Amino acid sequence: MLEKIALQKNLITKDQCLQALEACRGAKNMELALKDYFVTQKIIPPKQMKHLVSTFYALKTMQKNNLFGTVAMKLGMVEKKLFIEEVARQKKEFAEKRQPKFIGEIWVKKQVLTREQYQQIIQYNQTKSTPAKVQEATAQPDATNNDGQTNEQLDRETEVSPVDTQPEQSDEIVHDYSLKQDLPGGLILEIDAQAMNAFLQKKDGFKDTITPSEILEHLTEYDIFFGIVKENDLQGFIDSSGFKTNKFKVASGRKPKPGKNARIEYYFDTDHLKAGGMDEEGNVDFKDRGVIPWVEEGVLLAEKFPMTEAVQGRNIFDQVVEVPLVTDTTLRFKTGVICSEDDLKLFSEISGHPKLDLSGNIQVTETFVAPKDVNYQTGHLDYSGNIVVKGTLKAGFMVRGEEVRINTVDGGDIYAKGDVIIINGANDARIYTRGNIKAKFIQNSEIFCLGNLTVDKEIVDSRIETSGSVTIPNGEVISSKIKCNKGLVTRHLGTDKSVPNVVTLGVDAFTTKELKAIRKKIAAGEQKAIKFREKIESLKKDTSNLRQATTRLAHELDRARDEGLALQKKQQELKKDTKKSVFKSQIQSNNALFARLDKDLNRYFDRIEKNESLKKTLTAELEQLEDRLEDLRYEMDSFNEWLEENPGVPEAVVAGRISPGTVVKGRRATREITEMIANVKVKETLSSEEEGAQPEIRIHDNIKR
Amino acid sequence: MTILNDNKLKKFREKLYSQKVPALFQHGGKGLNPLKKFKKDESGRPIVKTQEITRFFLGEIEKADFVFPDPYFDGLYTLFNVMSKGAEPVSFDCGFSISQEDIQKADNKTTIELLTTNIIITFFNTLKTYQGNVDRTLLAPDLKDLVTKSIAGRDYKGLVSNTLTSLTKSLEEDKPWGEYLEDINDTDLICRLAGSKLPTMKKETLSAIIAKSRREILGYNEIFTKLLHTREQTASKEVNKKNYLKSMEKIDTATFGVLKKIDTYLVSAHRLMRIMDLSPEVVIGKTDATLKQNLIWLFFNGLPDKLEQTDILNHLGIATARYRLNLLFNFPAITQYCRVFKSEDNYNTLYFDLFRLLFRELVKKINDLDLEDPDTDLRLLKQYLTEIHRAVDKLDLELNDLPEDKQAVRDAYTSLILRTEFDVIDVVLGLCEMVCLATQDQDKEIMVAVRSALLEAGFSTLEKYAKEGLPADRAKPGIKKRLHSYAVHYKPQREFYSSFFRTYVGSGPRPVSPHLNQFIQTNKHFAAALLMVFSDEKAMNDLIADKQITHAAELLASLREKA
Repeated sequence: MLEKIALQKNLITKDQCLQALEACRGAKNMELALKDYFVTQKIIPPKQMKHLVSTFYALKTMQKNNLFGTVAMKLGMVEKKLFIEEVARQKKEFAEKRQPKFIGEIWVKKQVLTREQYQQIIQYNQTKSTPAKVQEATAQPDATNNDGQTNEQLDRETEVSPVDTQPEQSDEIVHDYSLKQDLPGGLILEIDAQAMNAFLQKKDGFKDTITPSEILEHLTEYDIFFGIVKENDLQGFIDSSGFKTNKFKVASGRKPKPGKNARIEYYFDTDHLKAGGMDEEGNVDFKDRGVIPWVEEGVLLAEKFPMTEAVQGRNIFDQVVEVPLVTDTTLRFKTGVICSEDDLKLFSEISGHPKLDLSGNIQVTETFVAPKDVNYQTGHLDYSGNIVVKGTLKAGFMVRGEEVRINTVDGGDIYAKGDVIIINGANDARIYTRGNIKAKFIQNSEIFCLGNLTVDKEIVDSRIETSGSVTIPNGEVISSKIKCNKGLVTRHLGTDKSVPNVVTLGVDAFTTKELKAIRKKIAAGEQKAIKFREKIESLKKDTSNLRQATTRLAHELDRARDEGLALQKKQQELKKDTKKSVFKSQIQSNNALFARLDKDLNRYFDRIEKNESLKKTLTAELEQLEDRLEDLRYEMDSFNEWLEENPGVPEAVVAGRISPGTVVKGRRATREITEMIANVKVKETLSSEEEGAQPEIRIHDNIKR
Repeated sequence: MTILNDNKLKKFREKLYSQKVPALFQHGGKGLNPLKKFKKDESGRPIVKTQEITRFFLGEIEKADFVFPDPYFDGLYTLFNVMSKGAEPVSFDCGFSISQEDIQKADNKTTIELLTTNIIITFFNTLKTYQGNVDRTLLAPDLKDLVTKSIAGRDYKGLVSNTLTSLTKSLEEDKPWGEYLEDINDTDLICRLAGSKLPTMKKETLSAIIAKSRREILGYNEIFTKLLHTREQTASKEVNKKNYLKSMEKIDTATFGVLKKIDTYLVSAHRLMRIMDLSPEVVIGKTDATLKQNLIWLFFNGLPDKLEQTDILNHLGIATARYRLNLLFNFPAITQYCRVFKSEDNYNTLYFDLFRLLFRELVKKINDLDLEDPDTDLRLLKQYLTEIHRAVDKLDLELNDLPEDKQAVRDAYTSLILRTEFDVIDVVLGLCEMVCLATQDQDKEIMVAVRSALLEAGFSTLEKYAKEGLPADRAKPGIKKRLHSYAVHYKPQREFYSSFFRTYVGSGPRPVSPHLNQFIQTNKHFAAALLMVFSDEKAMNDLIADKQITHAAELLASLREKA
């Protein structure tokens, strides 16, 4: 095949071709013999031969690819379309004077084939193909080694099929270039496996009459062009009396430097919707899908680690040693995020919810917005900032945040630190807030609120406790229990057919309950803190005892080691004289002792570290607990002050009617309304101005309308 | 050294600015009175007294044993930086600056406090413009402009001169040399807070201090040397084990005593080195060399004159190494002093070999993990990682030191991920941060390998699962569960699913991956289950591209058709 390409390229005449074939007849490796013939006869100059060999290998590779691809298709491992595309691509590469690569390697690399499938195809080839075909198909090396093949390499490659070889475990297609070859003039040329170094060594019959240019010529014959030492150095090598055992590096390639892809590391929870509560069946507990991330202003959100450019190498054959290309990426961001001057870091510009959108943009928003309902898709909303829910809070779900604005509550719970606004109404809800509440209606719900509750239409079948007032200026209260500290204003209080309301006025049930709960928490926290301190102390004691024990063990260990070394030394000295191992058993028992002591001492340190780690955890927990206790005490003081600053207003203003059966309670007095009354002000006052007068619930006409 | 704990500072800010207090407590509401303790200015903004900020800062400074001017200024910068965040709704009541006369009359400690108070007042006075916007223009790490502004219109030359005079007097007094340092440091700080510089110290004064310092360490080191020789002799000559241990106990007590003295000495020596920018050789003198030799002997097992024979890697044993390090870390200043070994030709082999030993043991520990009892196994591994991190941190191993050994740890860790069952992968990945700390992987390069391992492990766990031979409907939730357990550790998760799909299901140029193909050929039910997972639009909507969902659905349809 080599001679045919040479003929086609007009590098030889027909006669020369025939002569060459004649001269190489019977050669074990015809291609190699022809190559040598053309070069030694100076018919084809080395440079052109290099190109010729390159074309030869390219064609061989393409032949091999055809065979491999056809089998892969036949075995159903690769689609025809893919194979045709690959062949077309390789043809194009060949036309562009680029070396095609072995398709099998490429497909394994691209994971079109697994290594097992690759092997299957090889085995199929071996069993189904005729030996001649296999020989033909496997008679070429990879595209990476087409240029500058040496004689021995050609021999080797024609004997060993690349298809027979297992693809490399790494992505690189590695070829073994190693060679050791005698050169004229009593020299040995040695090339390493990666063709990155070539060495010369002098044999016994080395002729120091050889010149540097002659050596260079020999190197050229072996296609060594890159990184060759200077002629002066070659002369030095020739003149030197050495290099009979040591090697002289005559050429060295330039190693490739692999690059690194750019990457982005995110420092916030990019996927807060957890599905941690999966059961054995794989069902996801969507109700508890984790806390919504919240970051403070100035927090590092993401960092880009820039790419490192890859640098191609060159081997001694002046071939490019390729390295995979690297890719870059950019940090993308929207509002609420600022980028560092070097464009490598993103920080939050405001405190709020960080989010990575589908286009890879990071943004921080102050308010967390749930665009639809709070249901299995969103899970509970637990967020440190303000929350807006544009849909309905569904039964069984919870919203916890600062201020909450929500369309409708249908059976869920709300825990807020600030105001709660329910644009429509709340049904079957449980709401706790340290702010005010506004809603259109409240049905069958429980409301606990530090501030005022304002309802547009009605409160039905509900239980309300507020430290502020309850106002339903144009609506009614039906079948409910209301405890409000700052009074009640409503249109109607009860209806004829409904269960009567119970209204407690001027009593701060909310704050009283809060204070009770805080006191309970403080007491429990203090108990816990005592236990933590005791545990830490006991850990300290235990660790101190363990440390003392380690000292003794460490000395024993030192002693065992010293004895062991001394025994070894003695044995070595004796060996010189008697050539006998006399201390074998002593050394063995010493080694065993050393190993045992080492193990024991390590165990002690493991225990010490366990204690230290536990102590650290407990100390951190204790600190947190103490912080929490301090907060609780501060909170308790605040609630006490709140009670002082906001004395109760035991009055209800009802512009419409109060149904009979309604129970009105003050701080001390209670009165049941026995008959229908309208447009009244109900108030708890003292029966008279005299000392010792009893409080009573009085009903006054309401002047204001 | 950071004086201010960031979390503590944030907590302080939160309280001071009443950030977590219900708005009703602060502002009241309709018919509801606010609490009196929350005072407001005429615009209704809560008033914050800068006096409280000053008190907090000085309180924290008081807690620190000794603060150099640089960390002091760093602390002030941190204070301003953190306190200026969230300051928009706040009105600062700064009060009046302390007068020049009052400052001049005060002693060193009070002078520092008063000058600091004025800087704090100056900062918060300019922090808020009249519209309530935050103006951080004065906030620069060196605080130079702020100091200039705080001393504007004042003449502190007299103050500086008086302080220097009193320093000179103090230096003339005969007292332990360590006590001079506090005076020098205070003077330096006063000069800087007053916008001036500490003048160069007289050579004679400095020499006198250094001479005292050298005398002190010489005495301690002589005792230390004797003790080490006695220790060596006892070890080699005392045949009786009981007597040997008894003698060693006594020697230990004496050694720890002298080490404590050396440690206290080195605390002052390090201060002097830092204040005067001097090398250990200057401050410690000739003793420096022998002290190093002694410390190498005791803590790194390097016998004097036989350093080249010391083979830490093969002879010391990991338990002994842990013992010596534990002992060393009881003496923080000695530990700091030992950091120099890494850059000394005589000692750096021992220094690095000690870390090599630790890293190799770590690799061994990771490779030996069988995870039969994952909690205990991983707890022990975590403890060991903590120990290494402690050693790295305390002995100041540098980022670029021992790259191969560190890489070996990372490789062992990623291979651990590959062989960990999906149900305990959480615990293993919980160690990733510790691995980064122990191997000083600041850029978190390990994440590249970890992510790749997650994908690979995700697939191999499915391969194992496929062998259970479940029908598609029953296999589907199991596949979801397995994939999810790996995906949660991939940031963002959708990249996991997307990459997994490309690699193990199919992509444009290769519609059916060989892996899926293998499932199709060997276990059609499982292949169908896998495709059912990826074609589930509701579940995969945000995780993979629409075309991937469609592709999975098409593959599933074609698979069903063939079946």
